[in-house]
Amino acid sequence: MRSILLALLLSFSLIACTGAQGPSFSKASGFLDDDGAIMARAEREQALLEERCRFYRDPEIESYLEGLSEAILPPRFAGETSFKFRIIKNPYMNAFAFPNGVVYIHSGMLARMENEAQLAVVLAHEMAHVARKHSMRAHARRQNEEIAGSWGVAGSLGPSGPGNFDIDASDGFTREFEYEADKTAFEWVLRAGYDPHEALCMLERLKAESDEVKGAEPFVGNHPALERRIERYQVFLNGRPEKKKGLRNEEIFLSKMSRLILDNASLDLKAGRFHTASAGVGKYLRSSPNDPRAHYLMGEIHRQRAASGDVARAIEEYKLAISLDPFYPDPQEAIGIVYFKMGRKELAKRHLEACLSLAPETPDKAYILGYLKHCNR
Amino acid sequence: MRRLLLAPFLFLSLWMFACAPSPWTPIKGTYEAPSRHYSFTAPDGWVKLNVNGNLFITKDGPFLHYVLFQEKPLEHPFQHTSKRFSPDMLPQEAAEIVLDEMRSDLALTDFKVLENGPATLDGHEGFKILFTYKDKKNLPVKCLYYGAIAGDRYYSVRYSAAESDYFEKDLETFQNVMSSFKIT
Repeated sequence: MRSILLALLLSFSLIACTGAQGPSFSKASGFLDDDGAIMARAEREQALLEERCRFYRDPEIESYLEGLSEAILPPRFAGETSFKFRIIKNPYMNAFAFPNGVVYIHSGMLARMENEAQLAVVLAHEMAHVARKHSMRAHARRQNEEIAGSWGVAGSLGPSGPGNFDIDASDGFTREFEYEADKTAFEWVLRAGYDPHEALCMLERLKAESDEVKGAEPFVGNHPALERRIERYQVFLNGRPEKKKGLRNEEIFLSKMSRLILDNASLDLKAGRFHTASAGVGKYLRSSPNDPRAHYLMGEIHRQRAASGDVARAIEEYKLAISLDPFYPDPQEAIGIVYFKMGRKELAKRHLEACLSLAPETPDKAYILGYLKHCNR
Repeated sequence: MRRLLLAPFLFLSLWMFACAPSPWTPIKGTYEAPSRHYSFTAPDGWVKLNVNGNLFITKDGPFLHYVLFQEKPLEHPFQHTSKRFSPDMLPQEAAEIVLDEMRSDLALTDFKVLENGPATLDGHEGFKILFTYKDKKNLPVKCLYYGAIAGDRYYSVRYSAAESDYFEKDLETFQNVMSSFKIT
């Protein structure tokens, strides 16, 4: 999340960061006074983003997102913007959109969702920023107030990352647009038949993430702003004429996202977010309990966290992975390392040799040969 | 540790190196860190810059190549991963954390590990990683990184250079620095 987003934030001079110095385009210059110029600038900024970000490519998920967006978007907006969806490999929760209709969603955001209704809310929120032309309107207002700002990113739902409208609580514009996007998203998902209560779940998760990354992120979303959004959303819910619950489509969602959930758990593990990684793998295992890769990853989470009871659990998970796929070298190496550290040389040797026989050119070969040398002493 | 990989720092360094009254000062002979935790023999004609306890040395400028010496208490946090070192870690496990720190740094793109294996740092069991990445300007950088846990501290020495011809140019000099490196 951090450095690249910091760099992008600096580059984009986001709407949200109105206190920051954006490119200084005065009214007198006449530059960027029209939507076309704003779009052109946004596209340049987007090109930078595309260059710097790592993307999660899964045509099935992208197609799923596009299909869902078509179901959500009311007919009167259809045709105005062609929405595209790109998934960024990033374990932190965030989503944002460019005014040209390209919506970026972090894998961490998708992985933390439980059902299609939550996804619908997030997509609707970002699409609402685009459909309501928040970037252009924000820029126009800034020009009127002779504040140099920017317009690159249309909006963001997450606690950190480009375009988080909640970042600057003192900014009335951003709060207003955020409110409008939430309200619009509420109307759209309701109209599409989804359960609007699921939005509250997402906002609560964002709030939890915001608390977790607080201090570590320079532009982290603030807790009070998310609290306000939750309160306002509750007002929307209470004001509904009809109180029945809508679609959640949990099974469809999880079947489409299961692989992403597991892949994102690997990112969480790299980031040292053991609890989040464990939750992700656990969620995946509920639908695919016999996946050796997931059990190996669960073992890795416990081995690397190394808290009380973790080593035993890691061994258990590695054994399960090996029993599910005896030709899988990674759990053989991992359990060998655990036994090596425990001083159980015979067991360590057996598994480390198994790893080398399964993957003679493993990148960790030099380490393994070193362990085996110790075991043979 | 990883912030020192970042291009902004290099820009700053370059600026300091090239444009402003230089904070870089000549380094010669045996250098002992202000912390007195390590020492090494500096190559002739190189200059140094100490930034928050991290020592850079370079000959042709940090944008082209540098050697970076770092030390920190084991419990000291990283910037991109919440993982921590612990005294009972195997070198492979420590290397894993260093790699996770880099892989979680979204400023580094196209990060590739070419080699990862055991090595020693002044006789302490550690690891050596050879990796490449692209910096913020999309320029390819190659880095040879040595790390080891010694007592309650973690030490690393890395040689980082523009991947093209520069990496090979001073690799031997770096290896000489490495063989003179002492944890004291």
